[in-house]
Amino acid sequence: MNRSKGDRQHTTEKLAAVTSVAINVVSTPTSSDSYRTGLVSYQQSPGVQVVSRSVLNEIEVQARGRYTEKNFRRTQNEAHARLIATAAVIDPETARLLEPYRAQITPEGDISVVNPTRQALEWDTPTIWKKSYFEERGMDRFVQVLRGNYKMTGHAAMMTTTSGALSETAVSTPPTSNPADGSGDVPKQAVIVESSRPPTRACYLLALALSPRDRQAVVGDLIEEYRGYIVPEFGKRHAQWWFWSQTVRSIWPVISQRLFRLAGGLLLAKAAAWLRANWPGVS
Amino acid sequence: LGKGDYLGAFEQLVLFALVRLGDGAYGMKIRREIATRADREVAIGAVYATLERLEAKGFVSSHDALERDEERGGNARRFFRIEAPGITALDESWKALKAMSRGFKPARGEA
Repeated sequence: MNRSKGDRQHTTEKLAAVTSVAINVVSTPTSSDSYRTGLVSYQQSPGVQVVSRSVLNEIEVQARGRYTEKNFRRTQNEAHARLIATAAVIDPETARLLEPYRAQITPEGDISVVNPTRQALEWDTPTIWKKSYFEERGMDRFVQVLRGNYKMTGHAAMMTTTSGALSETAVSTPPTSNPADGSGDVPKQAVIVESSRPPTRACYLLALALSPRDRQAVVGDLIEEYRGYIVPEFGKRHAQWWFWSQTVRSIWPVISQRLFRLAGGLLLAKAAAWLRANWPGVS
Repeated sequence: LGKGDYLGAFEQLVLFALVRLGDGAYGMKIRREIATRADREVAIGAVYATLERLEAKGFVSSHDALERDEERGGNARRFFRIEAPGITALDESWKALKAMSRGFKPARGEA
């Protein structure tokens, strides 16, 4: 394929961006929190649009040892899925690695992931990944990929060699999204927001207990902490439990304060009525 | 300080958190500050109930942010700030605590 000097330069710059950000992501974290933050900034970085096997490997290698095995698996599964869901370009090797998943899509649209995936993305836990699992997290694009609806854009891109080193294979121009017909990338902000929806019933319950003045502030604070800290740190299941626990524990102080105020007001009114009845001179 | 103006232990924690956080203090940050530094996991409702009580005493003031944040489900933040009477009350409370704890040696567990 003929490529202009500008194209080559663009590709080289992009390679450098991928490598440097990947190295930055994998070398700086000191805790799971910062690893997550690094990963999110990696995904949001405009220069990084390519999912390649070596980048995944590098992140995985560095992420090991920071988690227990179970948490590592969970985090890594989600991280990989997110990378795929948000990447503009999926390199051919990764696309090939995704092939086994197609056979595992059930007629209901759920995704069953079993041992063959060990070879692909290290998802070696025998688990049924419900379609809703991905949809709840805004991973529609990932579901599309698994369904075989994705198309390699032709602009693509980069791939890994068998030795794992990055190499150029084609002209690399990032595909542009087209909001009009809904094609293109899932908006990255939307992916992150949608990925952590708090329990709706808990929100309603809390809002019901709160005064209109406090409603926005309290519910907003809980949602912010849930999305910003608890989900990334502990995963969605624990985060939902945390949200409910905060809700239940918050209701009593809030209601008791309102009742106390109400009781105080009633007591004062009673006292005033009694005074008026017994001492007519008192106003 | 009036009789009703003495600070409870949790009120002290909240006021200290406000001092530490400065102008950017709001419910979630205060809760996390207390959880991180004092190792005390509290409910957000308890934090707000305390802040409301402190506000009624004039120790704290609050204002709602104008912009709504999508990360918070479209809800606005309410920022809190410690006021001069709050600083005085905290100072008094801190002095009392220091005076009472003078000469006190924390018990150490047997190895």
